[in-house]
Amino acid sequence: MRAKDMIILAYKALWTHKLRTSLLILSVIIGVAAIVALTAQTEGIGKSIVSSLQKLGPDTLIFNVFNRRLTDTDVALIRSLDGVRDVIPIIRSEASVNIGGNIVSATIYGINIEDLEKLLGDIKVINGEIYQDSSAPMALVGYQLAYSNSSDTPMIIPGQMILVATRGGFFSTSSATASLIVSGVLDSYGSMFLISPDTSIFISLQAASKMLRRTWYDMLIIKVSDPSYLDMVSETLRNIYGSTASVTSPTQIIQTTQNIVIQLSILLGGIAAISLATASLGVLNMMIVTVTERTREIGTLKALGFKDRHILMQILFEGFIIGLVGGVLGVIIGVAVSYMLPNILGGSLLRGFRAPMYTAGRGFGGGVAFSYTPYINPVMMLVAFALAPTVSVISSLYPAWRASKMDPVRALRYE
Amino acid sequence: MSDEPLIRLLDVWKIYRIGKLESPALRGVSLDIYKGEFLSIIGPSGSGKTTLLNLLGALDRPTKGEILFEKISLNKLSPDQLAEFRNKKIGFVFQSFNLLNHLTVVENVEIPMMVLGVPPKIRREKALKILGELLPEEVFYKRPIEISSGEQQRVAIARALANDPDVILADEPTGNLDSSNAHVVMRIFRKLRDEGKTIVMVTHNQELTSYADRVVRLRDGQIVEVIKR
Repeated sequence: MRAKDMIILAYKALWTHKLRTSLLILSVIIGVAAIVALTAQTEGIGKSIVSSLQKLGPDTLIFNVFNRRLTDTDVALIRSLDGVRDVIPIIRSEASVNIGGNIVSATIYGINIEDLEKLLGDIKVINGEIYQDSSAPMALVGYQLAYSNSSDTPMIIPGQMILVATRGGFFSTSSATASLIVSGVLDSYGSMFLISPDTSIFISLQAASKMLRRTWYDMLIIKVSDPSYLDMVSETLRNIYGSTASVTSPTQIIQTTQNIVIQLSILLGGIAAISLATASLGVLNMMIVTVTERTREIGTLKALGFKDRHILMQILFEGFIIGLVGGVLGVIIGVAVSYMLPNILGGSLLRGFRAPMYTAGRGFGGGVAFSYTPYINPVMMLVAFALAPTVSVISSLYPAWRASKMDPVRALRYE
Repeated sequence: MSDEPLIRLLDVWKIYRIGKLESPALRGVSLDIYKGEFLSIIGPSGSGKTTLLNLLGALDRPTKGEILFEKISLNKLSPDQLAEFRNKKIGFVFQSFNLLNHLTVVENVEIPMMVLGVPPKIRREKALKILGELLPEEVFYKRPIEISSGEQQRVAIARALANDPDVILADEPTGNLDSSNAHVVMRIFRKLRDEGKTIVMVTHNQELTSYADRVVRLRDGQIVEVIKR
């Protein structure tokens, strides 16, 4: 008997029970789509975090201490250390900003303009211009703050004065109100590690120092001469500042993140695989029912000359078709769902999710929703696709064997 | 009808065992069936008619005794060889037709040829030719459930003829048919017999045995009477 004929017979047998077959295929689709979609999310999130970390460069250390204040003396000291190329001091404060009558949360960064460029890679001003490193209260405003009404008309334009109520830095509980003049509006940067430019206001160090009435910094970003010095510089800093020093390198975080992503992928992939396993039980169950229902048909086919293996193959082909169709549609739907999920999750679940922060307590970044692009791993897609017919055929093995071993005389008598 | 028996049953016993209980369905049946003969097996229910037919059709093996088909013992054939034997040498016609409802009439007739590996085009032509002699063309592409029971049985006969077998085994072929359709089926069998086919039919309808060349009466698993017509 030709395989093609067996496939045709299997297909026609399945097609008789359209609803039953569709539901079985649906259960396989859900399993496959879940594997594809969920692993795409974890890998996408992982890649997004890693790429935002990589923007800082592999030669970066983030430094702060918890029991004292970092001043120009510290900056000078660290700058003099072996292997240190540059030190970027940053003042940071949470603030409420009055934008067109609405009070919006923002983060104020005091940072010199050339240092900001190092941090953002490129200062993209869509309206106005950058500020100068002076004590003038000129500010660059994040995209989301300027366009918070989500229309094309900006809420903030250059030259405009905005009222800012700061809530203090790490060691300050005082609050103060100040006016800033908008020098320019930044383009959208999306989510970044450490800083979320879209919901931040950048002013010069001097201006921040004056506005917040303080001479210390909240953190220092240290650039080393070569990534190989990262460990050495970290060690020196810990020796000088003791155990309260927090030295973090994005490279370390990247490694940790990648490990977490792999584990999360395995976990979510595993959960999704459970749904495929459930689907396979469905196939097993339904095939047993189908084979029992078709006892007389099997008896008839044996009377017509079907060998045991013909019956076995026919049932296995039925399982294979269910798995194959479920696998193909599952991958397609999985890919589609993968790209839909970030919108659903980004809009709600992940509102509180931000890139990993180096501080122990309060996080950086403002209230920006985390955005990422799902990454469809072709290997994972192939595995999910191949798993469906495999699992489905395995589930059909027992019913197929049972059918093939039926005694034709009894099968023909079966009512 | 030739003088040489096509099928020989030599002291055939079939004993069914249910647990420790033994229930003999056939008790030492010996019978010669000749090529081109229309043989009818009658008897009350439980007399072993269907068991005998199943043994003739190689669907089952005797507990004791031997069945020779063209001098070859069926006992010696493997399950796969028995399947091939059924496919090529035997055509089955059942009381409840046993057609596959998910296939069309013509596809049902093609099944035995599919098993044999006949290419689609050739088997379709052959199926249509066989059907053409038994049924009106408009039913060829319908599903069995869409046609009458008389037509369904004729489809089953067409299917039985698909591989041009030597023997047609019919188990109560008219049991689900009205009398006019029953006579149609009998006339078909008679015609097939005239064309050289061997027909073995199990029935309990005395009236239909008039179509047969020989009537074998079974009781309690034994042949009690052979009537030659």
